[in-house]
Amino acid sequence: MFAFVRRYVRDEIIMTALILGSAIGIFGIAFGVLSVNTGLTTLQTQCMSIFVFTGASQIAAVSIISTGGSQTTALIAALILAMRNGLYGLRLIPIITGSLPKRLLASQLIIDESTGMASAQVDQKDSFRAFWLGGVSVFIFWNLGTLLGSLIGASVDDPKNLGLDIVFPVTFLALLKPQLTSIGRISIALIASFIALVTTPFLPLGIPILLAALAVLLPVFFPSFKYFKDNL
Amino acid sequence: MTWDYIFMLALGAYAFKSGGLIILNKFNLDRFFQNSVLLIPIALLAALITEQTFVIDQAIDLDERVIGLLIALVLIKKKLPFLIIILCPVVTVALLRQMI
Repeated sequence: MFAFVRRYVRDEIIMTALILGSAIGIFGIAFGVLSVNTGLTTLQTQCMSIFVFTGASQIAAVSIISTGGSQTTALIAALILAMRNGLYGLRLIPIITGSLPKRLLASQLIIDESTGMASAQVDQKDSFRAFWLGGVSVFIFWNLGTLLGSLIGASVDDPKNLGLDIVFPVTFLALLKPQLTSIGRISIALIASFIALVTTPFLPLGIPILLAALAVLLPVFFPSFKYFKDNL
Repeated sequence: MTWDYIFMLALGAYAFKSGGLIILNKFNLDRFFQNSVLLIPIALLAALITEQTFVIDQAIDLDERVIGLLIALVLIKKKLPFLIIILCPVVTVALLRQMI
């Protein structure tokens, strides 16, 4: 029994999936509370977490409505935030293989966390496993959190007081690090950060991240830069 | 939010997700672009880290999160277990927020 537990604790993919999932579950509670306090029913809130399933979009949509914005504004803002999942889908083409129904199901799990976990693995098989474990774990915890929050409905402690918001950048950094294997890749990461940072104050939520993605085209435009040449 | 808007949001979000993975799969991308596609998570993870650490309400704001991220960077470099990499910055940030 202990050997069994030990094996799981040593499995970095499972640990990452569980830790990320738990943190997301707590933000799910906060989302559920916000959503029912904004006037959505528990059923509507839960359907969002199941069928929209992209946290930043859901939170943006509900926040906009809670501060008096229109439904159209909320929808557009949420869709802009959801666009980056399309880019992740492109990256995942060689990783998520299998029958069409399987890929249609996998599509729903394409989010920052699952893609980040998949792209951090060296081995193709590990990538596939990391995507599914990460995606399923986040899906379950986010939905359980949402349900709990929408049922409680009363104000709960802000997860930020517990420092839990730092879990996301820290996890993403841990997932990014193994991918920074060359100077070319490091330059792309730095330029992407820079684009996001300077455009954030001026552009609507979600757009800076999309613009940052343009950094991946640098090797296409500057193929003669020596660090973009080979083995990027 | 009414049901019609929830439905549209779900449909749109799924269209993006499946569009990238399934529909664009049908096209053969140029070799250069294929390379670029593989780099997408690097750019997006870097941008997400930046926004989640240095930005609050669309304004640049350097606070305790920066300290948390620096601690994480050291722990990641030391290749410590993931649980430790996460717990140390979380506890630090929580304590710093209690003090302020």
